Amino acid sequence: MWVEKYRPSTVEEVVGNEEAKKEFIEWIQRSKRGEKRPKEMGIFLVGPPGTGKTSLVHAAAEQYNFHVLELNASDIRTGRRLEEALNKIPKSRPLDVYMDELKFEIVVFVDEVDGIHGSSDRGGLKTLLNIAKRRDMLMVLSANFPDPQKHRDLLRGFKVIRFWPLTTRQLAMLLKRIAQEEEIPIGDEVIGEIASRSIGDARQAINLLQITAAGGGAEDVDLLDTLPITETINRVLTELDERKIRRLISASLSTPQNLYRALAEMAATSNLDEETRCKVLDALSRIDIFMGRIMKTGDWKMLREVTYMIVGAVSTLRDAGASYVDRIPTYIFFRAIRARRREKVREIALNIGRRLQHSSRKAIFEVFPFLSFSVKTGQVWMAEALGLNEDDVKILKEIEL
Amino acid sequence: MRSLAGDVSLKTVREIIDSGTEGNYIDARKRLFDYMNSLGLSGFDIIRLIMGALSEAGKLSPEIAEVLAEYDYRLIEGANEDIQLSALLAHLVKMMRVGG
Repeated sequence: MWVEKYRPSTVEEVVGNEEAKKEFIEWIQRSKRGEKRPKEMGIFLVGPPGTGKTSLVHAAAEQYNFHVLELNASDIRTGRRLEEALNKIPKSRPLDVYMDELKFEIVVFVDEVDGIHGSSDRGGLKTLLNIAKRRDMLMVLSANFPDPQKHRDLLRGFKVIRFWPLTTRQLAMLLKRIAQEEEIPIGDEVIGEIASRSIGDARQAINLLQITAAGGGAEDVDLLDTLPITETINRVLTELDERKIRRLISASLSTPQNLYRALAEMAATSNLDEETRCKVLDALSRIDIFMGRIMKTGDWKMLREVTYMIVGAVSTLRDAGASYVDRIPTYIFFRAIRARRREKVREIALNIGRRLQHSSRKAIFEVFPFLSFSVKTGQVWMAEALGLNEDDVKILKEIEL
Repeated sequence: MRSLAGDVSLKTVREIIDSGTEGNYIDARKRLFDYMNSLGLSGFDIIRLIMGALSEAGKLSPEIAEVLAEYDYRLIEGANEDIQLSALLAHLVKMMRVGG
């Protein structure tokens, strides 16, 4: 995904929010010199999604040489992974660490603290504060919309650095750079349209660009509709009353598929134990079967039952401490990208098959790996002999073996 | 040469499953989808490949074959391939670990 591919690797590359960047770097350097004052517990990055909070932390880590230990809500709650991860970091330090007089080389980064919620998590914030007091590391938190009441201690004890939505111009420039790098022919109007629809969110902008480039249809580009999904999930997860959960789910039922798919995404990308993951995904897989039936038969009455099934999956996920980080579930890309690619790959396979008197299936599984390997090492003659053009070779190069 | 090249996809799929049973489910799933996307494969192709890879490794027990068959069916009945494959992978990983 381009969001990952074009994640900035230096602080300069992080787009916009110059003020915040400067402040963050100053703080990092000051803490590194050991001037971390007892009352200051760390840094709290606050700002809407896609404004560069996470990117800045990772880019700075690269540039200023420290480990980033990323924790999520459930890690904090159990405290289990923390010790484990801290122990993994090598005790022996390279010489230049001493030369720099580093007082810390670990940044504990808790992304989306506003995901730690509810009464069941009260212990979570406490653990967080305890970790932050340790002198051998710097704690960095981030949140989209901190709650003045719930996150009072954090807002008071941490240095708050604010991030603002990027301007349409900043986004457009970023998109243009990526479009050039990817060599995709895309007009300024389209870039402008994507930039303005992304409402200051760089991640959203890049995602939209990739989908547009992959030839996603209008339904895929209408991602803004899926944003409330994240909202719904977060609200559903904090709600303990089953009736209210059902009401929330019904309210979002204009796109029921999006909701349970996002839940599946969440189950598949959270650090769960195998038993729980298997159980939840099995439940969601069965929900999906009902959904398939609904779509085939047009019998939408079944949604009532499906809602109940979704509630079950939600409570298992909540109890297991799963958290939802992606703002747009990846399945949306997969659908757009895969459909387009599948078409192209099949076409090439068919052509090769015709030449070699094979089935296209055979071409995919037996000829493609070989061809892909050869074009990757610069041997194009074989592909040319099979009558493939430059575009085809490009597709072959992208095959992952 | 043909058999050599044909092994590549089986090997890739086997590596993905191995990585899952070693506890890297999240990574394994990502690789599976990347692989699928890059070759434009369908869910059924994947099940067939998993079957081939496991049988080649001598790990295709009747229980596992049953799981594969079950998800083959779920792919037909269900609405979304990604969910079914994610669930299948989780199931396989769990079974293969318990079975040693």
